Parts: sequence; structure tokens; C-alpha cells
Amino acid sequence: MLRFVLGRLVRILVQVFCVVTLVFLLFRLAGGDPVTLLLGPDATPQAAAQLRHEMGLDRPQLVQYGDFLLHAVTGDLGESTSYSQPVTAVIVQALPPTLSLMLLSVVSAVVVGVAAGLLAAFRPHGWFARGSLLLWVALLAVPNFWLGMVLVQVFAVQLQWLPAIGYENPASLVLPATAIAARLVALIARLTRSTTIEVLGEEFIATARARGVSPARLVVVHALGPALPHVLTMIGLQAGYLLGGAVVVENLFSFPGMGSLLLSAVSGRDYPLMQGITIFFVGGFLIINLVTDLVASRIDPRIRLGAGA
Amino acid sequence: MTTSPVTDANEPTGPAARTPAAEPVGAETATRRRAPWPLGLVVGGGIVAIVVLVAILAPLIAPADPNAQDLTGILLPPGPGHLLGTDSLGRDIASRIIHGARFELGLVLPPLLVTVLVALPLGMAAGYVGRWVDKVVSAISDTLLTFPSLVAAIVLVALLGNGTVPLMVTLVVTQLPAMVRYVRGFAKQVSSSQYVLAARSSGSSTPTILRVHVLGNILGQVLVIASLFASEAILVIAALGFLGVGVQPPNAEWGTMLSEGRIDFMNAPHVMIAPGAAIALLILGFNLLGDGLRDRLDTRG
Repeated sequence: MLRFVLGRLVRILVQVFCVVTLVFLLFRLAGGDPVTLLLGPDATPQAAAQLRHEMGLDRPQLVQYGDFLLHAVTGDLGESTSYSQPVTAVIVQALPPTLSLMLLSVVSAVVVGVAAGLLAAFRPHGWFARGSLLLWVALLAVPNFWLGMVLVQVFAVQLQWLPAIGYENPASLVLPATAIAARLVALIARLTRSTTIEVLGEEFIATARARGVSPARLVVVHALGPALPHVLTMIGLQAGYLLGGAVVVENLFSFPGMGSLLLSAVSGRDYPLMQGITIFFVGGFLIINLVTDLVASRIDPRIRLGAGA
Repeated sequence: MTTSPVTDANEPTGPAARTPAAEPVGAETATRRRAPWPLGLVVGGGIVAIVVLVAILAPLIAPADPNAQDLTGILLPPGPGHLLGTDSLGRDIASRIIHGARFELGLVLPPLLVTVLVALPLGMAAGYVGRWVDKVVSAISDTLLTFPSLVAAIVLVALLGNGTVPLMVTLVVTQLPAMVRYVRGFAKQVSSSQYVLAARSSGSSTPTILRVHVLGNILGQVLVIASLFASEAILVIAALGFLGVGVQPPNAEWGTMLSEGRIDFMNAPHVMIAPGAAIALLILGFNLLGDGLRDRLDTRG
């Protein structure tokens, strides 16, 4: 297990290094000249040269890259031009709302998705199973921002049960989390249903049934175990979608998290902040995948042994 | 597969998926698989065909000019004069939806074709040749796959601009790594098959094997994935439009229409219902088409 964890950590470190390098290159090649951006087109050549020197942009590219890496390692991602604060400080303020939104979305998607999947597998030809199969196909097609608008219309405007914007009380998390979780619920439910139906066809289930084990107990005890590693893998596969979903849904709900910050950095042409946020999003992606991988391999040792071979 | 490729494509499919249970199992799918034309394929293909027709015939079938404003009739609810109502500038929503089909398909399908054409040689080389080619291609695509695709799209559009060409380039860049991953998986599976071994031992050259045996046998699976990638790309284009960084107003891209409707949708929900439903329908169409094609290919396999 230790070797497996260490292997994963080393791979992640290599990937983070590659990503940081890639982000540096991308912003250098396509980001335009930061000096012109800061001073505007009317700046005198002297002032431009002065700022260029202060920002260290007159040094060779390789030196600048080394400098960028060195600072990135210590958590210094430069100065945000629109907030006049260190990028890391700006990002740290926006992290808690997004983290709570992600956590609520994933946990509720797992609970609802697994429950719905088990129910649908329990009586595969019942009306619930047939209806939910259709519902899942529909949920996979609905864009999360539109679902969010519909939820606002129904629960905030018509019924007035929940707030439509902001981040003042826990209730304001419900609608955005639902909009993000919907697709994951459908995927997890579908996966749980198919693994469970597969397991229920095994011989040991027939034995247990003959022994008089109740069907409900059968499903919960014998089907949940095999389904969970797959569910975790699915969360890892959907990590990119979850994080992207946070951006759009936060924007819709005026939610003060990383997604809103990214869009404000884009509209303010704040390249250092965009750069930092991109690195944080990739970090989030890698962490979600690491955690789901480790937990899945804890439940199902075959994953760990297969990966170690 | 020993590595775990990471992707946020719609659905883990084929050999690239490490979740065996993702394959359809159960009584319903078993009967569906035997049917010559799965219902999903017919419905999905039908939806996509209709949207393609609407896009081609847009000027002929749209009841009004999509950009003609009528400030005396703003935010009208659906009715006989305006089938889906009017927006905040008095434009006919139905006409805008019909013309919007051109943006969705026109922005999504050309980059998809480019993505497939570039991914095929790269993925086949990695999957069939293996060794260092596989190592290099896989390392690069794995690194690029760690960027959440929508976040990457937003940053790229911010850096490149949001004209037609930058949007298309953005789609290719964000989808190519995952497509290479899939093609590699398919090619790898085929390359260990009996008929490739037979061809190799009977002296066929590598280019011939790649062209005849590998390409011929993975094309169906690639088509399935391409269909699912199309729905992913539509989602990205619509999300960019919704965030105001994609197709710009007054162009009637469906996500952009939703974005313009954000001020009024609480009082006049009809401004957001039609564009959102149109996006969902087209995504549903491509999803069903992909799933249906997979079921149909399974019958032969």
C-alpha cells in the first residue's frame, strides 16, 4: 500500500511540474506583453523599460522560467493586477465556498445516486426502474446552467423556498449543488444499477436466497461492496466536469468561489490571477483523482495490485 | 490497462474505461442488442438529422429575421404571432432558435473532424507501435487531460479571443488529448488480436496492418466516441456563450441566448426555456446516437 501511495504521489508531482511549465509557456506565448497591458498603449518607452526591469521581464526567458518555478514552489504565484494583492491570497479567499460546494455536490450525488441505482436494480422491470432509466438519460443531456435556471425559477421565484443567489447561509448551497450534482447522480445510479444486476446474477446470491436471506438485505450487503469502487472511479473520471461545472454554476448563482474569480480575472485581463487559478483547478483535479483512487484501492485491493504490476 | 487515463468525456466507453460495469448489462439491453435498429439509435439519429436539416434550411423555415428587433413587443409570452414568444429586444425566439442550430453544428462539427483526423494517427501509433511512441504520446495526453476542459476552454478563449476560429481551435485543443487516449486504447486492443498477429506473421508491412486491420476495426468505436464528444463540445460552446465569453450577441447561439435572458428569466421564464431545451435536445440526440451505435456494433462483435 505504501509503495502504491508513494508511486501515485511521485506521478502527481511530475504532472504538477509539467502543468506549471505548460501554463507558463501558454501565458508567455499567447498572453501578450504584460507591460503594455498594465500601462496602456500611451506609455513612454522609458516608463515601459523601467517597469519591464522591475518585473524582471528583461531577463532571459529561461531565467524567468526558473524564477517562476522557484516562486511557485514556495506558493508565490505573483501579484494579481486587478486585486493588487498576491495571487495566492486572492485564491485562498475564494477556496472555502468552492470546496463546500464541491463536497456537498459529490456527497449528495453519491448518496442519491447509489440509492437510486440499488432501487432500480432491485426490481429491474418495475415502474421505478423503467422511469428512472429515462430520467437518467434526460439528466445527462441537461446542461447544469440551464438546470440551475429552472431550479431558480421553481424553488426561488415560484415557491420561494430557497435563495437564488449569494453565499450567506447554508441554504444558498442547495440549488447550486443540485445543479452540479445532477449529472453525477445519473452516472452513479446507472453504474450502481448495472453492477448490482450483475452481482445479483452470481451463484452465491442464489445460495443466499435459498438460505432465506431477505432480498433487501441481499442488495444492501452483497451489491453495495462491488459497486463502490466503480462509483469512486466514476467520481475521478468526472472530476473535470465537476470543476468546470463549478465555474458556470457559481457564475449563475453569483457564488463567491473559484469559478466566479476565474471569470472576473478573465474580464479584468488579470493574467497572473488566471494563471494561478488554472494551476489551482488542475491541482483540484489531481487531488480528487488521488483521493478516489486511494479509497477505491483500499476497498478493492485488485486496483492497487493491478496498478503496481 | 495499468495506467488510469483521466477524462471528463461523457461516458467511459470501450477499452479505455476501467469500469467493466459501465458496459450495459441486464435483460432490457440484451433484447435491445438483438434488435437490428435499437430505439436509441433511431431516436438519437432522428434528433440529430432534424437539427442538421433545420440548420441547413434555417432562412427558409424561420418565421422572422432572427435579429429583427420590435421594441413595441418585448418579452411577449408564446402565442400565435410568436410561437415561442419574444425576448427583451422583441426578437422572435423561435427564429433565433432555428438560426442558432447553425452556430451549434457549425462550431462543433468541423473541430470534431479535425480532432478525429489528428487523433487517429497519434493514437494508432501509440497503441500499435507501443514502446517509446506510446510513452511520449501518453505522457503528453495525460498531462493535458488534467486540465478541466471548461476551465481550459475559458482560459484559451481569454488568450486567443472569441471569434469563430479561436473557438474552434479551443475545442480541438481541449478534446484532442481524450480522443488520442480513446484511439490508443482501441488500437492497443486490436493489435493483440488474432487477425493482426496472422497478418503480421504472413509478412504484411506495418503501414498496411495499420491501414487495413487496425483502422478498419476501430473506426466504428471511434464513431461512437465522436458522437459523445459532439455532445460534450456543444455543452462547452453553450457554456462559453452562457458565460459571455463565447459567441457574442446579437448572434443567436443558444447559450448566448440564455445569457441574454438572465436579466429577465425570473419574470419571463419563456426566454430561457426554449434555448435550454434546444441545447438539451441536441445533446440528448448525440448521446443516444452514440449509445445506439455502440449497441449496434456490439451485435457484430
